[in-house]
Amino acid sequence: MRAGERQGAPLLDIRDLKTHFFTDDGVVRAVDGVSLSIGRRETVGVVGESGCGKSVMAFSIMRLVQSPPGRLAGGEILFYRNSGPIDLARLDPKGAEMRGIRGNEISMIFQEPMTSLSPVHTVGDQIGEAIALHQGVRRREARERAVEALRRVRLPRPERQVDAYPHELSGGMRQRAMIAMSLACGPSLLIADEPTTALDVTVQAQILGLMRRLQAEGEMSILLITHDLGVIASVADRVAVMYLGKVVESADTRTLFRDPRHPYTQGLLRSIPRVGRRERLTPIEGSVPDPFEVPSGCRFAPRCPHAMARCGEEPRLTEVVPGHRVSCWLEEGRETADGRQGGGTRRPGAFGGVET
Amino acid sequence: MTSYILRRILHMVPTLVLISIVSFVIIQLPPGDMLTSFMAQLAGQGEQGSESAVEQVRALRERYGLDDPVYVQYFRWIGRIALHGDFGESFTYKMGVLELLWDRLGLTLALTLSALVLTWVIAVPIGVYSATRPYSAGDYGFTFLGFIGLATPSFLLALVLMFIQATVFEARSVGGLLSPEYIGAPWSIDKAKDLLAHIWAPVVVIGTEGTASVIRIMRGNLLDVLGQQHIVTARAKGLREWRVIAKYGVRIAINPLVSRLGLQLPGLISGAVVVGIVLGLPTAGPLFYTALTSQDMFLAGGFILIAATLVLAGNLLADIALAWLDPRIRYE
Amino acid sequence: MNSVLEMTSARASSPGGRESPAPTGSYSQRRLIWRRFRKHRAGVIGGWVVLVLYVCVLLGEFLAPHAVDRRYYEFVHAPAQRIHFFSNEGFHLRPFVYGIKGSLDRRTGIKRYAEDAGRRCPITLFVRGDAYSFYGLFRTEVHLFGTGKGNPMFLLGTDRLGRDLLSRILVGGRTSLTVGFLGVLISIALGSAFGVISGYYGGWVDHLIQRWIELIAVFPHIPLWMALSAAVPPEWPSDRVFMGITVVLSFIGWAGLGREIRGKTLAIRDADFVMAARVAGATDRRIIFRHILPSMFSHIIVIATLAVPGFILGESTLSFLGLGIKPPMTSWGLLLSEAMNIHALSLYPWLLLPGGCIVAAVLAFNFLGDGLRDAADPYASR
Repeated sequence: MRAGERQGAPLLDIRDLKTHFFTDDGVVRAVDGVSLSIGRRETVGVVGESGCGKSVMAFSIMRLVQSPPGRLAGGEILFYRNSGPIDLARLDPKGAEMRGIRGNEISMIFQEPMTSLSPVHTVGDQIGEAIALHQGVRRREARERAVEALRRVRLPRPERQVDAYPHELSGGMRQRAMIAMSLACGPSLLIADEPTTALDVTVQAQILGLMRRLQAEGEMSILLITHDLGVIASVADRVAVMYLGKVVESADTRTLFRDPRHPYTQGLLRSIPRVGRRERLTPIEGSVPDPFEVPSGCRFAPRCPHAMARCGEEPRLTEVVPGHRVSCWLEEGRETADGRQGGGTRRPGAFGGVET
Repeated sequence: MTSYILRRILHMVPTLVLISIVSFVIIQLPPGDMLTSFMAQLAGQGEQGSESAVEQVRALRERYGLDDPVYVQYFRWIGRIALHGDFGESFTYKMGVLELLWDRLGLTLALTLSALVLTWVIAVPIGVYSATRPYSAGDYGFTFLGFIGLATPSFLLALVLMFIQATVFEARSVGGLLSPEYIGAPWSIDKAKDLLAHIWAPVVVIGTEGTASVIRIMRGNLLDVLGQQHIVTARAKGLREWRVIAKYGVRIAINPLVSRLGLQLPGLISGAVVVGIVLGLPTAGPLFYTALTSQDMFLAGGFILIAATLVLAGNLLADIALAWLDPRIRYE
Repeated sequence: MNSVLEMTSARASSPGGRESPAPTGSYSQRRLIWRRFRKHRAGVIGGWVVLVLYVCVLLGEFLAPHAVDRRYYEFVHAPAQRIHFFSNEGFHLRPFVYGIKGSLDRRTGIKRYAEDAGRRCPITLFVRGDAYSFYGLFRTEVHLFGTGKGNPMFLLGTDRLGRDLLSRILVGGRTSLTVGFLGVLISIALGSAFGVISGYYGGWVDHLIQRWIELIAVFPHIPLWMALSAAVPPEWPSDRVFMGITVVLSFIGWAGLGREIRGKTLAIRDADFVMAARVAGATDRRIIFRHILPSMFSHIIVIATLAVPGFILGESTLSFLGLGIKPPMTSWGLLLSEAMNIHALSLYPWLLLPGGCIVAAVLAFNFLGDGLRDAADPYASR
């Protein structure tokens, strides 16, 4: 496990990304200034409640945001390919260049494999389509490669399953098929949007293991989006916590669980039941506000047990310890190179030990 | 797939029997029978009491078996049809029913099928357009036209088109299939053009209702499908937008339409009947109309039986097409 | 300065702050549906048109300037007259029409009409005109507007017997719209009965009724209507024929309604509140009448509204073909049968006006039904 610092150049560098939705009822700033970077062969998890903008961020990277009403309103998405960096935010979402990246160099898998695969086309057809499109091979060759892709995801009897329809497969098998489809062209980045949420726990573990193995084999990075902290803990190298369109804390996984600094992160960790402990669960006060009426200043302040007058002004994401960034006034004055602590109260992390 | 087809055909058999029974019952409903109008004729001539008239009527009654109990008449009728293909003889025209209907049915079918093809060729692209550009001016325009199309009864539309032909196009011959000078003439380019000039109106009338409803349904279906998750997946693979819409959108949205193809058939035949009567075409419609007014049982009953059977056959074909398109159906 | 906490919690407590302040108290289901319906512009317009149509035709003879069968032999096939406010004497507050003079064009044999600027016939309200019987309750001569006895006013022209088209459209409309109304009532009764029984009990009863409905669906409607209406004895009087036609249309129309109601019943049958009633020991009858039917009420209204156009179209087609309404009663379809002759049609196109009424009525009902459906069930996918 790595501590804070990342090795080498990043693969994807998101800088101050803003994605806004302009509706008749008002503007929803779903992603409002998010900065995140993903290194090579790294698994970065993004965690947060529903509505915090994590999915929208993923779609923004893929330039799949429905426009209208959505629009990339600012920021950069720097993708470092072999040929050099390219700003995905500047590309035409429907243009050939972006389409050449989608499904090919950056792939995405979704939560519900049943609805994510077309019910009237065979699995092989859908996988082969991506292969034929990006690798320019003919149908027979594409079919062979599709079988290979299915074999790589350990789908039993891939030569048979390649002609199966999605409704003929079980949930776990469908998710494997979807993973096969997304990896068929060997992308350098896989975005997984809640990949295990719709699956049984046992299948969940299998799929996560599969993703880890494929990552190692393919030298791939993974951006894992979920609301499940358990999944983060088992798979992610680094984590970013999002709330209402902004990143409030980011660190490597161990540090985040051991030493959460942002009150929201602390609240999240406290609200998870733990085997063996019989205390009452403490939820976070209040509820996520109406996305049309986002409070000014620190967005979490209305629900924060430590809210102060200062919180009327929006805090910045600052690096309090190398590799650990927090956006909270409680951490003000702590930006030091050697990680010495400054003033303000500090609460111990929710988890005393280290979780596997 | 073959087992599905066989199952469907087996399903059809009891329905066919029921259709024949219903057709027969319907024809027997009007008070009196085939000879009523004949007897009225005789009465008009003041001859009903005379011996020759009574004898004539008695002979006719015996010949057509009109004094036998109803179910005997039914079995005789359906037996002749099923075993010999003999639909009986039309009392009004003194000809075999099948012979009478054959040519006219051919034309009716040709018109109906042309209207069906035209409907789909026009309506599906418009529906796709409306769904991909919803709430645009074009969408509203087509929706409005569609509503008008659904609200206009076919006979009224036929009248309006007749009016337009007479006044706007100043056609000399309106109605019918050909201008008088081409009837019976040998085929030529001019005759073909004349035919087209006459035939566009009936085809438009028959097809209008179907077109309007197909546009509406296609638009609704496609809008639904385009909001579904697998469309996002397809885009995420890097496919071109039109390909996403065509391969994953339309392909799925069209399934419910194909299943409703069967339901469109009765409407098309209804439209063909009305148009035939209003525009005076040599189709089965006017024949049926005459048969009803003169209580020509064999002719009327034969037509209804054939029409219903055609619809049933069309339903079967539509079901097969649907099963071919949507693999999920085959396992029902 | 208030604490940020108070500021933000105050704002958070009014999530619906964007809209106009909602009154306190809860809304009944019916009020919610009504509110949603009002937002559907096409539906509201349709509703108004339907209302106006029914009021007009119910007031039939009173609104009509002439009696429905009053013939003016000297004004056969007269075109629509224009209403004027200005004459060579200047502006008149009271609108008027000019008298018409007919002249026979010897070459074509067609009668032509021209305005007679010498005769000014003012239009007055509550004028005495042709006598009529108001629904058999009393006889009167009062019409809402007109030009007085013997002074012809043909706002929509006349037909081949010189009868005023506007008057005939109004009275004929009553027939067309009543067939729709009554026919739908009968069909709803039949369709609900069969649909609910079929959906609720399932099993062989359902199977049987389903098969029966499918059977009806296999026959093309218009030939079926034609054949059934040929079963109506020709010697029956006009009003009996009217009932007969209504019954014929209903006996085929209920099938479609029955199928939809069955679908809705199936959906509701497995709902939790029905399960609760059954567990509490309610009989089937009680469940159907007190739980299932009331919860389907709004859907039944929608289905009924959307079924009316079918009846209007059916009756007009049958009457047009001469198989429907018989004189002396008249309907829009029957009025249109005069336009069947292409020569009459091209020379006297106003004979098509009853067709416009049919289209307007059908559109109005369709819009109204759509609006009601969206209001009753906004999440339904079509």
